[in-house]
Amino acid sequence: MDDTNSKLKQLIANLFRCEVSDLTDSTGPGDIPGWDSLGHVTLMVEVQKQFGSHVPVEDAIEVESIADLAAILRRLQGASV
Amino acid sequence: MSRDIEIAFPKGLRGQPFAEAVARLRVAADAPDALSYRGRLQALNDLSDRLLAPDVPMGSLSGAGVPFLAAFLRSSNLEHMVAREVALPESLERFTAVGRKSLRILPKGLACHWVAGNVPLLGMFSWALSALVGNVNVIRLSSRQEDLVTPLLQLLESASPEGRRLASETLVVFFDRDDAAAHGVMSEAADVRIAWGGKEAIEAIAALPTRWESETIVLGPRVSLAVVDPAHISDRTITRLATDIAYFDQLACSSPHYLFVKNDSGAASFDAFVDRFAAAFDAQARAIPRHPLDLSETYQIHLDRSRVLLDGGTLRRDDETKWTVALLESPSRTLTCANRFLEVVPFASFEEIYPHIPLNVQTIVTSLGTEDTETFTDRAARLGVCRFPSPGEGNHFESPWDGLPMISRLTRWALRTDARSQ
Amino acid sequence: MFLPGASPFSVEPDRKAEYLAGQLAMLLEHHRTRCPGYARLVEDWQRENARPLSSENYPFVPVTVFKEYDLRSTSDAVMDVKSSATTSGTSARIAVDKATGKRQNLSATKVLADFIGEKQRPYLVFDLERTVRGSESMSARGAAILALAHLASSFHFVMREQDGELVVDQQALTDALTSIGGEPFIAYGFTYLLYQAHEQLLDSSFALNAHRDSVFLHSGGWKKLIALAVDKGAFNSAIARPWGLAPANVIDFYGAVEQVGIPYPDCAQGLKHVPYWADVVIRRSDSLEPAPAGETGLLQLMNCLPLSAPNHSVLTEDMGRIVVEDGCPCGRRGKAFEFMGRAPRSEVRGCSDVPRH
Repeated sequence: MDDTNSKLKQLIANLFRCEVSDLTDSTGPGDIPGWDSLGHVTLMVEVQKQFGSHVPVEDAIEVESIADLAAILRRLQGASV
Repeated sequence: MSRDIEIAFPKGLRGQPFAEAVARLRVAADAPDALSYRGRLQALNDLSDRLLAPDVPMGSLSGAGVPFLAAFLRSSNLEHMVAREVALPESLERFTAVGRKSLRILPKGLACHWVAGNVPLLGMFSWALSALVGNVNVIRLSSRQEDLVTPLLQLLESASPEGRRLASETLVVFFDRDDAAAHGVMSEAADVRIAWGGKEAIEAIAALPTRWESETIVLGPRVSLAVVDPAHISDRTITRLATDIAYFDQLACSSPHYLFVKNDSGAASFDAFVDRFAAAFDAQARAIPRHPLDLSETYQIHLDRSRVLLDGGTLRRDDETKWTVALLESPSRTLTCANRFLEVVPFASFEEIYPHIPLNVQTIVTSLGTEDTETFTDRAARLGVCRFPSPGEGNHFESPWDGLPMISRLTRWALRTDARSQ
Repeated sequence: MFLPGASPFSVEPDRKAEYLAGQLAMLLEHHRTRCPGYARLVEDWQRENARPLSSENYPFVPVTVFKEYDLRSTSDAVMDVKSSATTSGTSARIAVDKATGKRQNLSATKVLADFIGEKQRPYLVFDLERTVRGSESMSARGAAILALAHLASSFHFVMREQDGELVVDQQALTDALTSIGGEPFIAYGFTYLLYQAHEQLLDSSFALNAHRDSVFLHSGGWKKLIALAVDKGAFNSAIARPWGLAPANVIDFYGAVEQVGIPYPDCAQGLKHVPYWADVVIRRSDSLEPAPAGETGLLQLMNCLPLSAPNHSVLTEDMGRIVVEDGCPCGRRGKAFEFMGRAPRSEVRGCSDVPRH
């Protein structure tokens, strides 16, 4: 569980060029530079590359925080197992 | 010489070069048997009779403001107008003693009328005044315009011998708006140029080459309003006020855009007046046909209604787009006020109105008590207002118009020291 | 808001009407109680209309109002969508909150996926990345670019700014095409920008090729192209030919800034289709009454997405006509309409003037 969150934070820090220490579970779109509408869609593409899970648009638009995204990923990966 | 000036009237001159046609007109007007002032008055009255006769089919003329023209052409009306400028009408026929000298008022010569886009009948008003004082006339219509003038002149021809004679001194011509050469030819031929129309049109005409001694009369775009005191207006007069706004779809320069209503005896009397007015406006909007609005005009009505509501005003309106009364605390400068959209604004003191009188004002339709009329019109006239007609007379063309004494501008005044017998 | 399992253009008309009536009634209440300006418009409208609500009998806000008044139904808008500055010089601003933004994203994705498929593909954007950046406001152009974002597997912005003008960034384009390889891609550009970019590519004899399933979408005004005498046919071949694509792979969509989230792409018949969560009513000149199919009038556009501003039912200055209702050969159900451009400005009538002060 922590593993998904921390992998996500690492990915987000790399993508939006910030420090992992700047991110908390409640950080979400609009909270850091670069995580705007385009940034969000780019993040979904990167998530698919790293986690192997395609986040459907219905889920992607509901993401308001790193915790939300981690929960979706756990659900998707649980389903695929 | 432009070959693109097309003569539509008289029939006999169709296909003739413009300069030759004009020369023929001038000769006719100068002939020994030319019409006298009285004969001209008669001819115009005969045309009025024809326009009012129930058996004359109006065809395309119906609804185009013909009743206004017919009333205008009555001899009694024209004589009143002449009397405002000319002390002794005999001076229009011969040298007439005025004080210690004699005065003779002569036509300028050739008057050319450029007629506003969609109101071809306007040109007939300036034509009538010009013809009355003996000018020969050219009425120019744009190639896109429907020719309502030729049928009127044909009616004049058939009205009486005087009518036939007067018609023969008038030319109706067509040429394109963009035909600079044709505009130039007509402008340089003119002894008086009369330009009716919107800003762009009149500025273009005013800029045409012209002879220095010629006169230019510009009847340009203007804005009108109305001021009433509910204590001094009957239901019948309210109906007349509604017709002033409904006629010409509120697109004439004399059409009121704002109605200022005196509100010194409480909200109840103001509201009661608005109810009476809205009922009259609704009835007149249904009784007097309006041109079908295009999509852009239709959108504008809906937009302006929404603006009024968002600005905190309220609306009295029909459930389509036929008429709108917008009740506002002060006039809005963004609303279009056309096609029967009236802003109604209460006032306690005339001081509240003066700042809203625009620079390009023309008419204020007025219905106030005697003392108020005196106070208000004195100040408003100094602010540029040219006319203060009663409700129902708002759209009656008259001279002076736009502040211009038309008879004087259309004539040349010759002064003579009379010979004394030794 | 969306019906589970229903695709955008498959809902039968009666069910759609019933669904819309419910949604529209809810939205009227939602905005009336949150936006005082809208409440004034509705109050006036209701005085003249006692009939039950339906698409045809529903208040519509003229789009110009969004340029002049700040009509919003929330104090927590996350972003304003702005129209590009028009001839009037003022742009419309529409408040978008989180919930509305989500609905718009999903809506645009569902509509466009119905035309170009759901599979994510590399996305070539004929614009600057800057156009879609930022969190406070978004231009109409940016919103149009983002309408396709959820169908993208990678983003490639292929224009750059040079002396204040947008020009093709040939290096970026080369890199993009290398990374795409021979895969089918999607591309978008504002109509005039896309045309200009292809003029430049033609001049530079840049070698282009595309998988035959690649699709170009574009939206925005035709005014500048009309001035160049470029019609739709000429436009489609000017874009498609350099890539070796069929002109049918170039798809025009109509979108109003007051209706973000509802793109209206042309179907194979050249018609616009209305998803079940939106509606189009043609309003007659002179009366604003609903016009029957076949008659040209003003487009009233409605949709169920907006929660943050009362732009769910607007009267545009654009003309259109309903061509068929529930019978387009392309198979999409519901109303199919033709977009006919901006209603011409009225010619000046009479001798009245605007007041000068």
